[in-house]
Amino acid sequence: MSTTTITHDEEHHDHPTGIMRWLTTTNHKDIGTMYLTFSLIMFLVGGAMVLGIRAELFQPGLQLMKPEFYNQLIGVHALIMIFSALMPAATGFANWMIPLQIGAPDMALPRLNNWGFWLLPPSAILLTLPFTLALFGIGDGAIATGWTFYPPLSVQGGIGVDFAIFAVHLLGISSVMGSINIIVTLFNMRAPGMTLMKMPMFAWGWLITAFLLVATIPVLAGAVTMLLTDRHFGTHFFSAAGGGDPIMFQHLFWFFGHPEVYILLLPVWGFIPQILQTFSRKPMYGYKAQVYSLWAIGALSVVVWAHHFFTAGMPVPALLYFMYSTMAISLPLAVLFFCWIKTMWRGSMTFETPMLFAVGWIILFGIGGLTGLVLADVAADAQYHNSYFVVAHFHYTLFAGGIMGIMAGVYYWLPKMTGHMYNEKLGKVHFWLTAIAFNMTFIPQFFLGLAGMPRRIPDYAIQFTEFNEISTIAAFALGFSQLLFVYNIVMCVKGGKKATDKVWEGAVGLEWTLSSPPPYHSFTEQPTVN
Amino acid sequence: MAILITDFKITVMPNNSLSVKNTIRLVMGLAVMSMLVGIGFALAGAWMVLPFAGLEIVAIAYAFYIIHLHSADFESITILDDDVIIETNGYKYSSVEKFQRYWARVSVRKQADGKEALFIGSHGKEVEFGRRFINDEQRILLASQLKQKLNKSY
Repeated sequence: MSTTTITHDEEHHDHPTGIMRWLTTTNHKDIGTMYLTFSLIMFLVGGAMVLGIRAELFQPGLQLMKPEFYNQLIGVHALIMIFSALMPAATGFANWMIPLQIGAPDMALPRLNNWGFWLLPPSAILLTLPFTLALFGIGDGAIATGWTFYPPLSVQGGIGVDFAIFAVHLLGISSVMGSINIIVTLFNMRAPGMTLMKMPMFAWGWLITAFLLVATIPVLAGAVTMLLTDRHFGTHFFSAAGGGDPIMFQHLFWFFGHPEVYILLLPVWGFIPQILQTFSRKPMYGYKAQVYSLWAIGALSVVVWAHHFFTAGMPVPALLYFMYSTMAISLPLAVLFFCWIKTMWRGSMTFETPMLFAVGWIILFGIGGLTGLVLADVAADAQYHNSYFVVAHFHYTLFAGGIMGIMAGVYYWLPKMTGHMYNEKLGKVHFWLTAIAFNMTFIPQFFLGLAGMPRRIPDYAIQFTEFNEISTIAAFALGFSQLLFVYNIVMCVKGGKKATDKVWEGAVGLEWTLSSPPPYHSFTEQPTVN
Repeated sequence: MAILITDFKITVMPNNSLSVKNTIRLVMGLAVMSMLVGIGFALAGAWMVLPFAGLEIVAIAYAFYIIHLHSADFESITILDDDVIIETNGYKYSSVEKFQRYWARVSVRKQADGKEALFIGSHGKEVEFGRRFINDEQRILLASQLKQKLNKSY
């Protein structure tokens, strides 16, 4: 008797059209597309906010806005970029690519996937609504504490803080839903023959990300809930006057906040090596070393949180512990850099747009990492803390390391997703404009920080004017150059040269065995990995 | 050369790459990780972290439980010398239908919701096959294969 296993479970057999397709869809590619579209829209919203911030900083003195509104822009810009732009972009790729890469027809829990996405738009509304309400005289605007919610400012703040707390709860629930789905999918739905150590690096990056989210989201949820009860229910978790401890909030927030950096970066560290090997036409160097390094970084990321507030005051042994443990992250990260460079070494390299972004990403993210080492030094941090040096550092990590990495992924997978090639020339122009404008925006901010310019203040001493002018002009160039990115994506979705199934000559992986675009149901016949 | 198919079976079922034992290990591992964090912060005074950690673990365990409940689901068609046996097995139901092979007919019909459905039956009685695990394309392909198998034997 012969037995044939045909395919995996499918939650959906038909696919509705029109608006219902998008509202009710449980298809991983539809949900991935929604995440990516939402991310792009919020990236533009968050970007528009920062142009307001930079316009204010073009000249010393208060030019365009009140300090309160400036601080609201700072806080909401950060929250939007982190939670509504970068995280959904990574989740969008996960939805699109993980089932394709592991040979599954869909995510393990498709309805959960749909719910996870539809929590995001309400959270974005909650974050931005207080701006509109303030125009009608309701409340005093959005959250003005920065994205860190530090008490006592957040306990005393207006309704914007409450809106942000509920937004964070929704975002947290969405993240946990996504994490559960990814963990279950990766462990339970891999194609026969695909052992864990044969998983694509992107899947590894996301698996560790999902573990980090599971470990840290409850801490953030608990912290903002305690903040809410301090604000409205008479508790004193973070009120020194009532016996509480405001520094406790900083511990709670950064226990989530530092791994959050890696939550944003690990998926990118997953697909960048895949891009490098594709355009170097060589096998990925040090697969196992990279997997172990990702795990090491993930593990270290949850034990180093207090380096974000060295200056808040803590015992010397604690300072030393957090300094050395933070510096220890550079070891596995150095292994990753070595593997990325060795993958390219003596390869038959070509520099299509995804490769340009990937190589540029290595250099710029490297600067972000190295300046992080400077800040990890307790003695040096005392000078640089809360200065523009920190602003420049985390933009090298999160814009270059996060967003430019995501852009590399977009150009790499867009032909597979849409079935059309994007405009290569426009892509390259976009890369060079982004790379040059980004450096011109943030290199001056390193110097401003070293010279002592504090962050989160709309005014500054006159000696900082020139660097701020350069930074502002470049920020506008950086912002407007992203319109090329949007235009290129839209034109690619609408049409263009037909993409082949493999798209890139050196592409490796199961996703490239499917048609471009892939069929509505991925892998109707289960692939086997040798 | 005559071809005589004496027995033939098609089984459709989900692929489960994680064993029950490893599922338990994984959920326990996640629970320990989350609880360590929750209890640690609770001891430091931030007890509100703990209920969120607990809720999260319940959600994770439930997700794996749902997957486990469906892990043994399958549908199968067995073609014997004289019979065609359709088996359906889910965690809430299971059924076995038997048809005379000579009289068994295979058909694919479009349903009101637009999807195709594959039916096997005879004498006015029909069973739908592959409703849960396969898509339209596969149903049509499977139907033609089944028709061939049923016809070739006589």
